Amino acid sequence: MDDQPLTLSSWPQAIMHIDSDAFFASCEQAIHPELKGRPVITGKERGIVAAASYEAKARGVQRGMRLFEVKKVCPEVVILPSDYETYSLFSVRMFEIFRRFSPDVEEYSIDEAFVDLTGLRRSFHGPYEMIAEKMRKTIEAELGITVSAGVSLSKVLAKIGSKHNKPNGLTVIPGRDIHVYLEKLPVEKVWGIGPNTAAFLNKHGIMTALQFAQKEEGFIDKYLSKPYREIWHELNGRSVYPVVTESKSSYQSISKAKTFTPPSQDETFVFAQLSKNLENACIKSRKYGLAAGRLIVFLRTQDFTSSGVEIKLSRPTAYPVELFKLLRQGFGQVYRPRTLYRQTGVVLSGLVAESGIQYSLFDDTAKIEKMAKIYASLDQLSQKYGKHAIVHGASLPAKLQAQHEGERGDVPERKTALFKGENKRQRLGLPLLHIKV
Amino acid sequence: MLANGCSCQKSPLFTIVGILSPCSPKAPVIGVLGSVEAGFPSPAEEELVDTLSLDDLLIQNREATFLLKVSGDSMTGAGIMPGDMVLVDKGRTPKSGDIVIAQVDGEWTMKFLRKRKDDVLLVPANPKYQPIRPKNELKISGVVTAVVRKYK
Repeated sequence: MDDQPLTLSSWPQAIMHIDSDAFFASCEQAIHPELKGRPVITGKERGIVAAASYEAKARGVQRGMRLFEVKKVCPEVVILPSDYETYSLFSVRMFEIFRRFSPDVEEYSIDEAFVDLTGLRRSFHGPYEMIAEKMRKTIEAELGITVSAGVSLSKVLAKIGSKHNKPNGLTVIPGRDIHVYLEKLPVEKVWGIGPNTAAFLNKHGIMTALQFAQKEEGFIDKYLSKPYREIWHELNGRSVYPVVTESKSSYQSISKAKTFTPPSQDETFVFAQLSKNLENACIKSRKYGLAAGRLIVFLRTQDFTSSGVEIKLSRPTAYPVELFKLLRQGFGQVYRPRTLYRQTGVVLSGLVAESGIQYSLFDDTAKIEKMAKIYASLDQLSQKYGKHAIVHGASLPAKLQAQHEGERGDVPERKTALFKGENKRQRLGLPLLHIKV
Repeated sequence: MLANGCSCQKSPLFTIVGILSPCSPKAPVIGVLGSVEAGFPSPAEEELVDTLSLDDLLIQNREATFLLKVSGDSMTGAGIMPGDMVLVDKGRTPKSGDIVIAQVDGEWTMKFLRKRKDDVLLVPANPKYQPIRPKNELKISGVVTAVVRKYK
């Protein structure tokens, strides 16, 4: 039964999943060509590995490792501070390149995308494999990074494909071959199936993705909830999840957290860090026309323990001024004196459209309107003069002091090697090649 | 662009209309095809439609264009000075006569590319330096498409 194809139709639709190979580290290798082939990690400013190149992974370096451990397992490692500006530039470019091939591109994360290729064989005069390979080669030529990709009949299958041959690989799974790829794949490796569901399926004798896909619909309907029924369809080559093309325009929640070094026990400074995060989160929320109904405040100590509180707001808002009092209260509940903190963060959740907020009888709408005007001007000023051109007084200590000091306090070269006319806050929107010529 | 609206939103001076399929079976409706508001467009606006920004001028293929700060003086004869910023296009196929960023036998350099049949030569624009003929390996990383020098 196992060698029976799950479906006979080869390409009712063609969905591609692209996953960058060690994205942050690859971006660094692309702008520092002398680092190609060498073990590279990013995250110097945080003291832990944020991303590791394949060369570093091969030597046993893992994400989240502390830097001193990294130096032990891989003394020749190159440790770089994170340069998110460059990574974001690469990310945007990657999606733009995909859009040259198909208008249907879903920006799934900073380094992952789904692309709907259905129907493109005619315009490219060739099979899906050729189109996908051309996309990969364009990324490699123009950006200098490699990606792994899978092409199949559904998102879940495309994801299995992109993982199948990583790094720098392409796996094409037509309908008649699906069973071959599912046969050896443990069911918990399928996108969307967590350890609990896997354990449940294992109890019913379902160990592999193929066994799951072959299970009769009656069983699936009886025992599993909707998301898993959808995965079951997707595994059988019946696409349920569409490729969502609009770029991220809405959020469930917005979180902003920043690490600082050295760790601090200074109450004013730690609160300033928190306040800056709140301002950042509110900026993002206003950018998308959203307001938050709940505020979560958390602090992380030097020994990596976190504590936090959630505060419910009487009315959604995206104005820090309205939130400072609550932020202060939340901070007071979490903060312990004489404790070294390394990170603060806020999460805005319960987001609703700003335009749809219902004001109560007790809300001072005139004041709220005034605030809206003030923050609109503030956002305009930031656009003109760079982020944080104007900050609230509470955030000032965080603005005045470098986020990271000392040996670990390295900032990316991009922020120090400036061209005339660039400044600390605003730089040209093109990645910088670090080649000495 | 066809806007299949059931009513005009604004009252323009004149409207171009087209008859579209009715919105509901009962009421045949005239759809707004596009409207021109308030008479004459400003002549200045009209003339500026076909202008390029400096960005458009300098950057042809944005996704493949990188910045590079020049440190050496091997291309001064071509007007590229130390400290200048050059734009490098990685998506272009390098042609003879292009200024390229290349790795020759492990060393990075910026030179004119000269190709004649199978012969490849990297030529500096400064008499202080000799042309380079790659011995083992030549990797061209991009083509220089512009140089930018800002004085103030």
